[in-house]
Amino acid sequence: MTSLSIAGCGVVSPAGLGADALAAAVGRGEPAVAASPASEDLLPATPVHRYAGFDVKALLGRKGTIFLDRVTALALVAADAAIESGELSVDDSNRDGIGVVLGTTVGSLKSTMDYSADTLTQDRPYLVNPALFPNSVMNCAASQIAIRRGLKGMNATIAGGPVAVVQALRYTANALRRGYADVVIAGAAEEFTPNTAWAAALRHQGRAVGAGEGAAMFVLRRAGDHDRVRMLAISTGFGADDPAAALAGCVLRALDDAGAAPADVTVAASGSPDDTVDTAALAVALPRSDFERVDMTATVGDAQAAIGALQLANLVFAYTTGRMRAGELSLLTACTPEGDVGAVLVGEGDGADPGRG
Amino acid sequence: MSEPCLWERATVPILVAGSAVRTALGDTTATFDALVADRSGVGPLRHADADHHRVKAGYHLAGAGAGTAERRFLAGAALALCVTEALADAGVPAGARLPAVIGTGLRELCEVERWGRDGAVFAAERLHFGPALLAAVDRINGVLTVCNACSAGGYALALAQDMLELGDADAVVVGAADTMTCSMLAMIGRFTERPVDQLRPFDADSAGVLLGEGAAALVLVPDDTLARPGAVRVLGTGLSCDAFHETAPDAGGIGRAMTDAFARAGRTPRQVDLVLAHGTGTALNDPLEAAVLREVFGDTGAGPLVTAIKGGIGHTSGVAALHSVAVAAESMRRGLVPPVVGLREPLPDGKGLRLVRGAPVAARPDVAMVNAFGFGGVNAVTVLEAVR
Repeated sequence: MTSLSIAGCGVVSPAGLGADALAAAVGRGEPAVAASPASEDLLPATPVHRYAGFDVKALLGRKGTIFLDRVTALALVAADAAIESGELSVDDSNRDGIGVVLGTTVGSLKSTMDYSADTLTQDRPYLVNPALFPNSVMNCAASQIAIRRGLKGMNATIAGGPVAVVQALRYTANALRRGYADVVIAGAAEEFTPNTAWAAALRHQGRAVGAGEGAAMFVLRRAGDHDRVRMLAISTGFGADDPAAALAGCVLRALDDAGAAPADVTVAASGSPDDTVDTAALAVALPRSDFERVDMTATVGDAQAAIGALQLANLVFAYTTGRMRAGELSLLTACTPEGDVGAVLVGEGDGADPGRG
Repeated sequence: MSEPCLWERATVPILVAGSAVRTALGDTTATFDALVADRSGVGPLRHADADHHRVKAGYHLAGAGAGTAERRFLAGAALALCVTEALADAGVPAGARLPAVIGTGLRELCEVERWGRDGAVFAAERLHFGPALLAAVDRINGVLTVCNACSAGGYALALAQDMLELGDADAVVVGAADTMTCSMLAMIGRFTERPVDQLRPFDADSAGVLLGEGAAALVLVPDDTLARPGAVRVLGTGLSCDAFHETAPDAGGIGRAMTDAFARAGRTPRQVDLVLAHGTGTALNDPLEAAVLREVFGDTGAGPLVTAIKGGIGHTSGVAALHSVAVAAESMRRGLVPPVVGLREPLPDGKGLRLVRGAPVAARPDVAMVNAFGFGGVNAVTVLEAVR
């Protein structure tokens, strides 16, 4: 039983703010490739999937934003939007029971590298700015969400590359089930910086895949009677030798957990930067092959943990706007090169309007 | 907090079936013996660019010799060693579903710095503990990394218990590892007004924190049939977030983690005989933690014995919680509580706490509480029980 009610969703991506902007860009199949962020930054000759118009001060206010790194700012904006869309009012009666779980690859690669570089290259390394140190710790963004919104429940950061968002949701389901929180703001965030651009160039070895960024956060609760959209099942696994078999097993476990059949899946989305393993797993797990695939990396680039989070946000958007109907299920799969795999099954809840659409 | 009826409650006792640590003082036995002898593992900082640092001392892993700082991927190597040893003790049957949950503050960041400094290039996958762990122990089913700063080990412990109680695993390896990074050394150097000769938890004249290298692993099983006198059960871990400040702790957040821990463990403060405090030797943590302990145990009579181990092994960041768990378990097993190494005169807020000072106290603690608090205001408090 890992079913979660999705009470709200906040999205920021290279396509801009909101799930509608993302869905439109994905629907057009347009790469949201932006110009080089700053001319003085040396970047690899790969696409740049960056939200060029991201205005931190306008979105978050001037107070307390001066030291924020990009991934923290993206996560904060998505969390704010999720809380607003979920009409979650945080006050002293409920803040102790509201937690945060964030998936990431390494937090802010740039903050960490800059801080270390500063340490190493200055004559007197002890003159590093201590105010920037918290940015170099991987749980910075999750704790900043808690600080900004006064969320005092458990607060966890899961590092797992493209599978981190599934692992974070699995963690969330567990935390809700075990009473560590009543509500969890969960999702994943990644930033585009020259550092991530070069890391992606190293990963993709000459292929025209560029780094990307974005954040999607969800307001999640235990499944109830009035949910419109649910994460029906979340499963994670591991298979270093045969990741496709492990992922196929994950998908089947998720379907079994949700009491659903493979044929119920009408949309399959991948959170992996390279979906070769996902495709092989789907061929095993889903005998019908007429399900729709959603190409997210064309739009958001190799945004690691954020790919899957943005895929989920896009799937949820399809239900809330009536594009997906009752009985139609959506599937997210993700894998890492090391063999971590995960799957999330999304569908309508009992509270969806039966007369709609 | 949630209405209890919504929780899925513990139904099966969680037993520590195997454990192993590495600290500046050595393995579990050597570490405990040294702490009991009031001996510290502090030494000159051997980090590669030690000359540049204002921090001059540290707690390097024992047995790794003068070359410790030059040992590549030290965190992963020490972790793999601990996991191998812990599993060797644990008797987990072949074919068991055995995931690993690993807590860490900075993972292998030290290697990234080395890359920057010496051009020591490596595959990015090696920053993850997965490859090192799986090379050592191929029976582990995946590695989940919890990056919760200095309470990471406690958060990992909480998740492992949940996985077992929900039947998602047959046994879980809970591990943690951290080493020293140049950037962390530089950062703590900024808060040092005078040289820190050693970490002195709850000392009135503490000069500040020092870092320790270390690793730890516990194997948890949901099976009380293996329980023997001397074994330890994990009763529960309480979690909270201060939502207050990036680096300064908050009494409310710490207190809520303790309350949550007691509720999950089904124990009251009055039943606690021993506290392994977080005790970092800093002006931010120690007075506040002492005040919260006084408050929580204020009306329990004499209150529990309180000790802290960072004077002996340094602040081992993401491993701190598991190192304290291992020492608490040894205390229960051997009937001896080590003193707070480095403590001379307790700070004013520590008066009224039964801080163990100078020499060990013979005791037979049945229930122990372990504190771990991290940057970002992330708190984990674990309650353990001795099997008698």
